[in-house]
Amino acid sequence: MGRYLLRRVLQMIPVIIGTTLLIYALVFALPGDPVKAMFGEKPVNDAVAAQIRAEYNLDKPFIVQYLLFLKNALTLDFGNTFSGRPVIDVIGDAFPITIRLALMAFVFEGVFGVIFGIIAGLKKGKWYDSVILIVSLLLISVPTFVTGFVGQYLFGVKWQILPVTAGRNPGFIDLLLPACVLGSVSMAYIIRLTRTEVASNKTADYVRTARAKGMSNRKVTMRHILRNSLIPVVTYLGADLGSLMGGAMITERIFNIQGIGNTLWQGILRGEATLVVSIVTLLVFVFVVCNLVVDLLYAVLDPRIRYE
Amino acid sequence: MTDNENNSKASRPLLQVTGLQVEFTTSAGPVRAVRDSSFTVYPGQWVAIVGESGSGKSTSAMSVIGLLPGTGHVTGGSIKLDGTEISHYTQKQFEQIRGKRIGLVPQDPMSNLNPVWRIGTQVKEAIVANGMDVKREKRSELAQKLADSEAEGHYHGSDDELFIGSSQLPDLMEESRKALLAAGKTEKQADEAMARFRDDWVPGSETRWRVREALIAEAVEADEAKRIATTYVTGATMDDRVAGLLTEAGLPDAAVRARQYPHEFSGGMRQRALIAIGLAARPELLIADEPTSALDVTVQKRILDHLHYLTESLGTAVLFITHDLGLAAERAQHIVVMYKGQVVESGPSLEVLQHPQHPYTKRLVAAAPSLASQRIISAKRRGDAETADESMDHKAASADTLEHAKTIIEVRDLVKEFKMPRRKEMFRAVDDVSFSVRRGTTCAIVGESGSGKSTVANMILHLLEPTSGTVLYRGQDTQGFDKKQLLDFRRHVQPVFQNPYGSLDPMYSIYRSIEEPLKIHGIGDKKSRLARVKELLDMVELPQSTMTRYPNELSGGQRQRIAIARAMALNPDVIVCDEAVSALDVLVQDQVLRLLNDLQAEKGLSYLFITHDLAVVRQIADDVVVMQHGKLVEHATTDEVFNNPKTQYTRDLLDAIPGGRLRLGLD
Amino acid sequence: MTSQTPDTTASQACASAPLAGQERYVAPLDETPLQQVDSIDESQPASSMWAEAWRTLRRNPLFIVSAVLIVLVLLVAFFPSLFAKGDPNYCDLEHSLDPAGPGHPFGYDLMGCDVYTRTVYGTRASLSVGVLTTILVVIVGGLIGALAGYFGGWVDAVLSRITDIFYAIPLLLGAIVVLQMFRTSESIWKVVFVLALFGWVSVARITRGSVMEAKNLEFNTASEALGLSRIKNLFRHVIPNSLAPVIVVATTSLGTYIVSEATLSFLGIGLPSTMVSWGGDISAAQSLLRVAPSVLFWPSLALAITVLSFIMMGDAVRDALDPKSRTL
Repeated sequence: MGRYLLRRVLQMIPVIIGTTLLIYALVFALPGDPVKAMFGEKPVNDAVAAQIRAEYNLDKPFIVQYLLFLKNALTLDFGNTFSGRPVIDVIGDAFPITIRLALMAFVFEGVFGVIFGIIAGLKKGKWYDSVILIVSLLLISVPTFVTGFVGQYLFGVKWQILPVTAGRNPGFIDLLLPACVLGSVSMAYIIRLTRTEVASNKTADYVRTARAKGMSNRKVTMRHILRNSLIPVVTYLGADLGSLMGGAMITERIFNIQGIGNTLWQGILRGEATLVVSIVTLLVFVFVVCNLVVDLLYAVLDPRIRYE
Repeated sequence: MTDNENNSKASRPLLQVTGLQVEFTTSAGPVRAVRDSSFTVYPGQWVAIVGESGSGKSTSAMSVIGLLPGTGHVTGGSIKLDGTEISHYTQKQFEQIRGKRIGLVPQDPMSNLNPVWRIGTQVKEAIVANGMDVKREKRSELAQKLADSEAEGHYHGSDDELFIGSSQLPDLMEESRKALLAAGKTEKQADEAMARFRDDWVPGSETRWRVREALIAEAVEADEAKRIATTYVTGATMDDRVAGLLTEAGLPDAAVRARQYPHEFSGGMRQRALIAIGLAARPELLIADEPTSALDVTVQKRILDHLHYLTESLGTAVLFITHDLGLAAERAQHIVVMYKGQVVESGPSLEVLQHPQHPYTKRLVAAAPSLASQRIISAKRRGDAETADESMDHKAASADTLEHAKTIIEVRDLVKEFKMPRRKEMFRAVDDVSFSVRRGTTCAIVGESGSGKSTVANMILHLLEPTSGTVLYRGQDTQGFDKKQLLDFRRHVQPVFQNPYGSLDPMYSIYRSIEEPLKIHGIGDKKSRLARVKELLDMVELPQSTMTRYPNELSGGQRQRIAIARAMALNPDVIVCDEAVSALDVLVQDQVLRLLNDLQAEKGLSYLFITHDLAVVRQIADDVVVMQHGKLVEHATTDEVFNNPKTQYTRDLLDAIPGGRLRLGLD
Repeated sequence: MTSQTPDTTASQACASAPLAGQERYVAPLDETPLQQVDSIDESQPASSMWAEAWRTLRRNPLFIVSAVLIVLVLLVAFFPSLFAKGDPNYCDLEHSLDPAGPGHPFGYDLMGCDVYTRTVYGTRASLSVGVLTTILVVIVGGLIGALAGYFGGWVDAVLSRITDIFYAIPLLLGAIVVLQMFRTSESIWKVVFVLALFGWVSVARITRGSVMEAKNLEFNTASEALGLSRIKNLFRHVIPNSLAPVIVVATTSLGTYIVSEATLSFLGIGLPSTMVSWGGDISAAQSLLRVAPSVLFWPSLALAITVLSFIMMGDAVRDALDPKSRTL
């Protein structure tokens, strides 16, 4: 187990270096002038451009730029925004809100996804299985922003039971609708995954063995069908926590939540390349760490993995 | 146990199935899997249901405990357990019977244990689900009476059935040793007795009265024996009981093993755990559904011997499902033969075997490799007296003609090492093996899984590089072949693999599959290739229309015949059959073996036949190479190996052939 | 504990008279006529695996519904003028937010453009992005996955690490980073390339697994023993046999690429704003949610139906080709 953990952590290092390098390369080395992108359509003064290039080390060779970025990132120095605020402070303000939002979405999709998935899987072929399946298909097909608008319109405008947008420091109620919207697509995937797993485990040989022991149906379902079915679901959920943070941008924009996604969005609008790269790097890091945790979780849940 | 006793006590059948019908609902309408099948099992008896795959044997057995797969359901007939009709039971009602009254030992040890729970936990479930008292043994009525008579009236009620507990075991041992010495034994005698006790006194399995009897048998005074047994045998804990059950099933180090997971167990060990589970609640009837068909023969024999011993001492009846007639006859008193969902013949084992009356049974008996005692005589030889003489020559000459000219393949000092993951030392899969294959004969390599026999085959086929040693084909070292020579070698040495479902590309039509070798070697034009494919299909006795079909439409045996046709396409000299008939039903297996044999006689082919089944070897091979743990243990002619085995391992293998000991005197 | 060998079982049973219910029984032959061992039923027509899959598909209502929808969407994308007479870019501010009327079933948007016409003409953009991205992804991901799975060893190690790196960047985040650089570009290819850049990973992983499974089947060894070279074997046997899951994942992904394109357009960094697209129209309509929800509704519905039909198609194809594989 310890060996497995060590191996996974070591494997994570090249992935993180690789991803940050990739992102950095995409932003700063692609054809297209980052300085020009910063100013959009406006004409650029050559002196100003040169100054900016110097500030962001753009005048140095690419690999040096990257290493400097990495060095600074390790000390949490991501530079300043255009307005002069340290990027790390901006992130520090926005990130807790996104974490709160993502965790709520996580709980929502986990609870409802698993419950509906189990119901559908155990009663495969019944009418409510079909209903659950159709609803989950719909949730996957409709983009999050449409789901968001519809939710906003129905709950906020028409019935007025939930706030339409969240304020500066959103509370539980403010984030409830956004969290459901954010988690809706993943919930649909979890329903489908759980349903397939449960349905296939139901006919597994070891379930028949358990029944042949004389165990009650309830016990067989709990200990053998569900226990085994939930292993891939739990790992999917874990990996999803990372992508929820990345995907929060749309939801935060619709509901005007001042989280990391919205900050990223503002950065893109203003062409603040450093801010964008820093936030994306952070989110990718979170994503990779979540995946690592999932791998470890997998090893805990499934004894077969531990010994590989 | 004698049969007279058995009869008088067991006048009432334990299980009586009459006119059973089972249907599966499919999108194309109901499919009848079992029609009108009847059989009876008496307490303490082994009854075997024999049939090929799809004969309805497992379906019949599963309907007895209400565990039919998928859409299967009983549509007619009656199932009586100890006189009570159970065929209409709901799942809830079946829960009351399962485990307690009818246990199950399923077929595939790999998939029947839940991979995420410890072995011990899974055994424990069986104990808990049936509310078993872990402190004492529950014996069937029959077994209780037996115990009573065995104990010669020393039986003292249910407290005598208390198990040894692991916490009390050290004290028990100490006291026993003292008592032995007090009874006048010398130190040495006492130590010997203690060693026996250590083996026998398994916590959670051995009971108080047996401890007492054991002490008395060692000349300890009855009162003292009773005192020790009563003081120190006071019942087991759950963990003891789990370990006890696993030990009973023949699992060594059970207490440690119980904390492990299924993937840490070998197939044989898992099967033992499944037996422990099946017997955990001391059922009156155990359904054993091909419990050992996935295992090596020697392991199979050990496990079945053990199961036999266990069920006998517990008085459990066994409904034994198998495809192997020899095995059935060896293990069961009564045989039920099923074919296409119906019972075609049933009766006492030996009688059915010696005087089969239904044509299907006759066919089965004739084909069963375990019952065959000699090599298949090819069609040509059968018809032709001269060649019959030649075959005699062939046999007679076999001993002294290992000269070069007649040798087509020779293997010298072959070694293959594999790197083990995360280990320094190499694993020797094949360790210094030398033998040769004579032209026009069949050489069989026999061994159990892990013996390295397939590795040898792959090295001969030039699919695997040997670590050292040489493979000579017609006296030439195959390692030194250049590209052109290798292609030529491939043309002359062809494989037929084990898995009939994997050996043909499912995307290719049969025509394309058989044509492929011709195309690769650029032989003929389109027209001549078509003619050749037709010819090859005739050769393997399949209709020419088969060539438009796809592998998914064919049975395992048919696919294997296609694989043979493909191997024959290039007119090879040598065919390497790697477990080519192992996955097939007996009759189909027999058919394929005869085909191979006829082809050999016609074309003068040489076969290298890799198999785990010595019974098949006797039917097809001229020479035998026996391998164990990568080493060659024995290399001689078939007759010599069978009549005069030189090593213990070969004797064990021979001994493990199911039904091998039955001397039938067939018609 | 010792085992004993039941040498004598059979002979024992023989000695005594049979018990009730265990008398010798032989079924009459006419009840179970004996069939020839392992004969081929020549009355059945021959059918390949694909024909088999096609037969399963045809009977699946999921397939029929999604096939009809996909054909419809394709028709609309290729010949929008057949479905809508007007010009999607013809707008008249006088009609701003007018409700539905004759000839204009979906009403007008803020700029006074006909919502129906714009929805019809928006089909092509979404579908093009979906189809082109899928093609690119299957080529790149399929090739990388197949090479990694087939050759194993260091090839696999290198390719898998590269895959891991791309896998660690969520599709949307990666797309945003790249696309913000090209906000002024007027081509749909930028969206296609970017989605493909971060989307090939899933196809590569599936292909790798599928190829690894296919290459371990015995028919490959058989072909090798026939003298077929490794690379020929890859193309003749392994790839055809590992296509099924790739087709499934490609069909389903096509739907998700359309969603991603719409999301990017919604963020203003997807398709150029001059191009008629559902994502762009939905984005433009968001501020009108309280006033005129129908302006947002129609393009969303069109988008949802298109995506749904591809995802359903993916499910149906999976059921037909690969009933055991998992639904996700």
